[in-house]
Parts: sequence; structure tokens; C-alpha cells
Amino acid sequence: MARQETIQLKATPGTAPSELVLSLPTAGRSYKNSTEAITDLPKISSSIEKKTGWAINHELLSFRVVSTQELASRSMEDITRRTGIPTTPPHLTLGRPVARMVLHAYHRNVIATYLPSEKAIIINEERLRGMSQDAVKSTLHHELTHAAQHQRFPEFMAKLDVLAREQRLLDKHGGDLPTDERERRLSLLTSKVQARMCLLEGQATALQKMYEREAGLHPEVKMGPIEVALSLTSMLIPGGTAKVRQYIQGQALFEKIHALGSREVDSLFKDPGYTDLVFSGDRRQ
Amino acid sequence: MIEEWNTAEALYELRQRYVERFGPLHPIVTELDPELLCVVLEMALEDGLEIDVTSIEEALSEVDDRVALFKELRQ
Repeated sequence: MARQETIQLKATPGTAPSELVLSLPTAGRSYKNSTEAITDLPKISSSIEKKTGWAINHELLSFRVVSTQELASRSMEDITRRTGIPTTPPHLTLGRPVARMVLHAYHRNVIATYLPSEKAIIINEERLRGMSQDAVKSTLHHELTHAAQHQRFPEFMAKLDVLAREQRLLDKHGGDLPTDERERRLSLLTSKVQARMCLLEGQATALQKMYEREAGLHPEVKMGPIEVALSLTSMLIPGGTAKVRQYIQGQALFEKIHALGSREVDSLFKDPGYTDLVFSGDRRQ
Repeated sequence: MIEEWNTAEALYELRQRYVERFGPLHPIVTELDPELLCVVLEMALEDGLEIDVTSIEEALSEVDDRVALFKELRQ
């Protein structure tokens, strides 16, 4: 296993997928080391708690700085644990050198990711060194939000994993189902997974942007819809990149619901019917 | 292995394949980091689905209606 620095936080939450993939050159002052970077975590957590009304339990979260290689392998392992299906390069043809190299390139651009199965936020050591403090803070806010989602609504996350497992099995195997029935079920499952991903990413990205404005941050890198669509969990969804527009829409939808109050936001996590209605337009309430 | 990776060469090949199959790349997509663009193109080709960034306005136009329906159901 690659070099690893482990720092247990005195706080943190639970679960939600995502990686921030940031692709632009760095600018501004960087953190001297990872220890310095985590000193800002309490403030970041407070920002999330204030906006969501959720208390974040920092005792449940660990924070680690790891190599790109380790980030990649642990991200894969996380999905395997959550879905119960052995995971190698997601959704890319296995055994092809180009696909493997592309995936490595992808992980090299990931700054941080929250691993629901470990309840850990891991940060890419190589990326941390070259980024401004503003960009790191913004990134941590996004990932901490996913951790908060997991901690607050573990059932929501567990259900998402079940749906993703069913979807992947159906996509790969399909059993004895007639083709049209298999496609119908796959479409329904994909819609449900996508709607939940849009809620998770929509909230994390919307709150991240609010935080940037409030804290006067000017990260040199921005989280875009394509980057969100490229998150590892999204990559498990067949046609994930074809739905970039849904992530843009998801953020806009979340901002509107957020304005209605935390009770309304919570209802999206508690009632799957609302999640489907708002984020995929499915009116089967 | 990784050192042998040639982003420019791979990107050129992937773009060629994508354009031949789906037509020109949307400007939003071309702003991506070259390595990430490789990932996007690879996935799109694997899925056999065009990267859908052209109907964003249509998607955004649905937002108010969905929120209104949500509010109605919540009352």
C-alpha cells in the first residue's frame, strides 16, 4: 500500500458518493502540509451544519492524505464493497491498456473523494501540493457535504447502493428476461439511480458554491457538470456522460428546494417518491 | 506503462472516432482537461451515446414546474 498519512478528525459523517475532478492549473497560496489543510475543517463543517440544519459527528469520519494510486484502488474497493460486485475500471472496457491508462489519468485529476464504505475522506497527495488553499477548502466542503448526507440519511445511501447493484447486474446479465422487459427495467433503475445522484451532487455542488461566495473564495478550479458526471459513482451508470444536462438541472432544482427550508430538503432524502419527482420528473407518487 | 501514455495521441484518436460517430464536439466539452476529455470520449464511445449538453436550456425550463408540483404535493 502506498504511503499514507492518517489524521482522525474530531468530527464527521457518513456517506455519499463523489469525487471532485478538477482540471485547471493551480494558482494562489497552497497549504504547507496536510496538517495545515485540516485546520480549516471545523469552519467548513460549521458552514454545512448551518445550511442544512444537520449536526455532523466528527467522531465518525477519518481524513487521510494518500497517493493517486492508493486513491484509485480504494475508490474501486469502495464501490465493490457497496455493491457487492467486484469492480475494476468502471464502465470502461477491461483489459484494454488505453482504458486503464485513461482511468489512471482520471484519478490523477481527482482532488478528493468521500468513501462511504470507510466513512473516510481521502485527498490526493499530489494534487494537494499544487492547489491553492481556496480550491482545497472548496473541495473539502463538497466532500464533507457528502459525508454529512451519509451520516444524516444512511438508509438513503444504502438504498442507492442496492439500486446500483440491481442496475449493474441487469446491465451485465439480465437473466432470462425478454430484451424489451430487461430494457424497461434497466431504464427505470437507471432513472432512479440518476435521480438520487442528482440530489446528492446537486446539494453538494450548490452548497459548495454558496460557501465560496460567503467565504470569499476564489478557487482556480471549478466543479462543472461534466466533472460531476465523471464522478466514480456516476461512471457506474450506463450512459452517465450522456446525462450531463441532468446534473446542471439537479443543481438548479436543489437551489430552489433549499430556499424552501431544511424540512423540504430532508423530505427528498426521506421519501423516494419526492426524489424521483423532483430529479427525474417521475410523477408516480 | 503509464509513462508510455501519450495523451495527445490518444485524444486525437478518440476525437476522430467520436466526431465520425456523433459529429462535432460541443465547446463545453472541449474545455475539459485533455486527460479528462479522453475519459469522457472513451465513455461516450463505450456507451454508444452522445454527450448530451445541447438541451440544457430545455432541462432548466423544467425546474420551476417540478418545484411547483413538489410544493403542491407537500402541502
